[in-house]
Amino acid sequence: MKTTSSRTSSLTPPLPPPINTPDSLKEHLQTALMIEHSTIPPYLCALYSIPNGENVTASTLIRSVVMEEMLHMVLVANLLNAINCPPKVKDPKFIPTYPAYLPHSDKKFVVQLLPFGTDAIETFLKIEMPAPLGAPPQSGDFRTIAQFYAAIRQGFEYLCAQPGGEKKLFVGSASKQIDGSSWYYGGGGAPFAVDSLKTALEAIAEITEQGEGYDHTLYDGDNRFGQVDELAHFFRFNEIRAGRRYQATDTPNGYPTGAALVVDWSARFPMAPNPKVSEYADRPEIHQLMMEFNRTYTKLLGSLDTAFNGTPSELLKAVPLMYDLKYRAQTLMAIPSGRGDGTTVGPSFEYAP
Amino acid sequence: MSVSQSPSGNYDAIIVGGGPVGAHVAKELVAKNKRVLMLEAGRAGGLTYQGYRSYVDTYYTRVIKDTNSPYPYNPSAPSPNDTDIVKIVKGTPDLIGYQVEMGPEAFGSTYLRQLGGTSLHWLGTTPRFCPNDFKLKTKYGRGVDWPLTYDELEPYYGQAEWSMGVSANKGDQEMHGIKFPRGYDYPMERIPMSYSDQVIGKAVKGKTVNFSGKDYPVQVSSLAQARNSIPRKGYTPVGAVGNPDVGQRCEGNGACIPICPVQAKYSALKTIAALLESPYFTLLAQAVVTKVTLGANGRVNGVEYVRYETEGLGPNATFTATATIYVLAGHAVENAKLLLASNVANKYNKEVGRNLMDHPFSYTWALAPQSMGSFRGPIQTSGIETLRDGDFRKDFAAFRTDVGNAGWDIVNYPPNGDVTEALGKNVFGKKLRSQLANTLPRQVRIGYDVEQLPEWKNCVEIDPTYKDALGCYRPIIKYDVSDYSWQAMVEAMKVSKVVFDALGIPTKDQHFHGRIAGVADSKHYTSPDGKRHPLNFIGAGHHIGTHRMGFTKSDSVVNSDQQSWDHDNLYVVGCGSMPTTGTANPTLTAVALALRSTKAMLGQLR
Amino acid sequence: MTGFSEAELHGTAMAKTYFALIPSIVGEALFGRLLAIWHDSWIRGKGDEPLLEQLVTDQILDDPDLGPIARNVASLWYLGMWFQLPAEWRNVHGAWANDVTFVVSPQSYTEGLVWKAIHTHPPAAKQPGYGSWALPPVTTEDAS
Repeated sequence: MKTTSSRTSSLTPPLPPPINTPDSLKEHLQTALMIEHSTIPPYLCALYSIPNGENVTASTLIRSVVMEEMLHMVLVANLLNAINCPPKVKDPKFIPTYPAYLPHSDKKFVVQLLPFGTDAIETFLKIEMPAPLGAPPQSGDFRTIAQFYAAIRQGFEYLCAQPGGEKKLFVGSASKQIDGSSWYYGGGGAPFAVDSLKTALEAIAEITEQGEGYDHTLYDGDNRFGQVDELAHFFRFNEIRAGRRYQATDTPNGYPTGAALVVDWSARFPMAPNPKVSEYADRPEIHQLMMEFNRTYTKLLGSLDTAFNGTPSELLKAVPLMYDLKYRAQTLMAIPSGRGDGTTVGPSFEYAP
Repeated sequence: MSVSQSPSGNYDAIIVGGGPVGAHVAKELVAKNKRVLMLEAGRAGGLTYQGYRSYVDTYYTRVIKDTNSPYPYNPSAPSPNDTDIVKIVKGTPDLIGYQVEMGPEAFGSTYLRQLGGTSLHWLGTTPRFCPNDFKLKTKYGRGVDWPLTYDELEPYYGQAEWSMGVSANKGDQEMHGIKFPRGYDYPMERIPMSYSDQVIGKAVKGKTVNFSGKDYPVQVSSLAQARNSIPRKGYTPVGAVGNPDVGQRCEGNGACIPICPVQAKYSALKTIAALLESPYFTLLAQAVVTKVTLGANGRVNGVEYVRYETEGLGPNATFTATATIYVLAGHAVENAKLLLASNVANKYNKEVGRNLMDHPFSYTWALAPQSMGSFRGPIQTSGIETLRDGDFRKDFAAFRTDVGNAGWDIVNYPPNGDVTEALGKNVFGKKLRSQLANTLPRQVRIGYDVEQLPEWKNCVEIDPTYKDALGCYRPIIKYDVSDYSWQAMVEAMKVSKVVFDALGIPTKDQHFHGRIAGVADSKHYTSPDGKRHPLNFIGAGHHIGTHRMGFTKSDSVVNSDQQSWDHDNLYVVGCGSMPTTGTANPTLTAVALALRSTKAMLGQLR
Repeated sequence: MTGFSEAELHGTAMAKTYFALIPSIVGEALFGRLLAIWHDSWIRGKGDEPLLEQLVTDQILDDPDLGPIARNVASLWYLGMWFQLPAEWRNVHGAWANDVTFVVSPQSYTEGLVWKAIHTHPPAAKQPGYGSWALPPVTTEDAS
């Protein structure tokens, strides 16, 4: 367990970390929920722009990342519920307006809704960038997501170090926790209940390691939990960019040197970047299909909101909505945008109650 | 692990056939470190995830999406196909395809020779037999008794359910004396009942039918199914072979027959893929066993098999393999064929190949006044199980009632028929779209798996006139349906009538027989009182009999351990060993019997 | 012809395939004639559903040369299948080598519009997810 990694040790008496009150922790966890979610529409656009049967390995890799991002959302919701803060998902402000910066990031790059392509993969690499060795925790204007989570981890550790702190902090209802029984994606692990500092730190570790790798390796360290070690997200995307698989002798600092991974960058629907329903106001047929997509998407968020707020079994009902969303997205991907540049429409991921 | 080219060395057991029964025999023997060679006549393409997906793509592109449509045509190990089955004209055998059908009734069932066997295209319904199914003769004076009881088989049912991954709630299955040990439950929760099941269930609540002077409830209940659902404690669902993240739950693909694209439905491929991890297990595919050979002592001393390289073309080569015990698990028809071709297991009687049975599957259909949400979910999630046993079995057969989820699936193969028919009437555009939307989801189909009695004249035979591309015998099928089953099909219509009336379906939209769009073919039964009853039935794909188990060496081919009376190191396993059909889809029981038989096998291998 | 919007047809990603396929089976001349008459009916009947229906029935569906092709175009969209043209048609126009009953491709099957029309999915494809079948069905009124 890396709860006492070098990054949190200190030689001088510690100052309170930036996150040092339960309210601040709640606020930052809600931000974490937004961050996790904000990566999903861009990943889904890349994934659904790949026609069925094309770029099979690349789409399998992207899909596996998306599923783990959803797992991360569930884990963050568990963290919030553990400290008795209702996770908010169904909210217009919850959805970024793309192009957007990652919430509370240092705004060094924008995240966009793009089709599968080098631009999209480059952005994904930035999103999943591992924290440099020795990089400090950052509770705001963060460089990497891992540093933001490091600050949250510090907050948990600090609050629990106060007298009676752990007991006072973990007061959430156990019935709101989502565990493996409502979740069935076999890969990448299953959610688990958070009810203590130990489980909270495990949840944070699971999230950051699946993204950037365990302890500065290529892998997510899941074998410690009785699962198969998988490449962390950053390295999965790096495989797609390099067109090569990693092999055992490769290191995080180098390039993958294993078997070729065949990527056909042209085998995709060229959706116009960052589509908006408003752009198709004069094209009622397209407008309607986009609205139907957005209504499904909003319904899905509502379903997650319900699942996160006391009805974990609702997560099972979200599955049909996720599939429905996929088929609607694929339909939009194939429709010419009418811009005369060969682009297609694509899904816009806008709030539509 | 090994998928061997040419196996060498001695084996403890040779298993002929890589279906669910053979796979479970192998599983138990390998678990006790017995060296097992499995010989599979078909190809092993489903063992890779991409290979299996290629079957799915093949299914997409097949014009006729019948039971074997996803799987590659293999003239070196042919299988009977639905499209080969035609109405038998008196005196003229149906020679189409692999099977030679002599009639008088067409034997309307298929199976698949391919690694995984027919479990690749089975529906996945796994009810247990009722206790009275094991003592039909004693209880109702019909057919024969089994040489074992429900209670003797019960522990192996549980083992089979956990091994195959069956989803059910114990409470739903406790009926007709079917009991479970304390503390037992199925490995996964029941598959959700479909919307139409729920609507029908509500509509028929409290309704009854009267059979032989007694009222029986018409009650819809959830079926046990070997497809993945929410696991109970201690069970981890088994996903797709080569891609276990896929198929963790049934995703409602609605194509259980002929192929579950995500492998949420159990197939023997799952068991065999796990076996391939063991050094004790050797699989040899494309190996068609042609003969079981005997030594001077009357024991089996080997099997001869032909390996082919390219289907239908060869080159072919003949080999012999030897072991301590031999297990024929090639399917009821193939087992019988092999025994007949080898001229074995017939010292005390001529039972081999006899008593071929099926569940004649009669069906009725109707158009509900409101949407039933048809064409969603697994093909079948519920049944009316209340008529699987009762005193009426003295008079006519029991049956299991199949409440379908796929509209008029076997009636007119929707939606193709509906679309072409509408277009033929110049219905197009928005009218076409709304006509389809307003009719197809209202389609209801109720079918009956009807019990059949063992009869000597219903059989599998061989004749040198009929051989396949490899020079192996083609099975000759002689099949008829007796009054016992015909009458049940007529009586079963009462159940349909109750259901259709309860749903408020006008009489004109209720169909009990007839032709639709030239596809469904009506038969008729003339009852002893001279009355003519038109009705429709096909095969259920439940080949039963052909090497039945019995009490003595004079009345049967094998004993209750499925061990040949004639040759003590020969086991003939599978649905062919069942003395009667009961009403349950037989695979679960065949696997349970096989698991039980492995005790005797292991005793012999000690 | 199909009752689906142009956007929905494009959404199947099959338009190009079918546009190339049909003339390869029945020749460009007949397909061109069909398109021209369809286009003409579409313009004349725009906004007047009964008129459009009348025009299409009279000029296309009841036409012995074009009717069978038009029905097959609809089958392509609905089922992803081409049906061999009727014997009467083949007697007049000869036997085109590609005019056999077939499913165009795995995609044509999975994109068949009939499944959308009846609010479900093609068997073995576009899976709806665990338990979806237990929910009340979408009906045409909900879907509009």
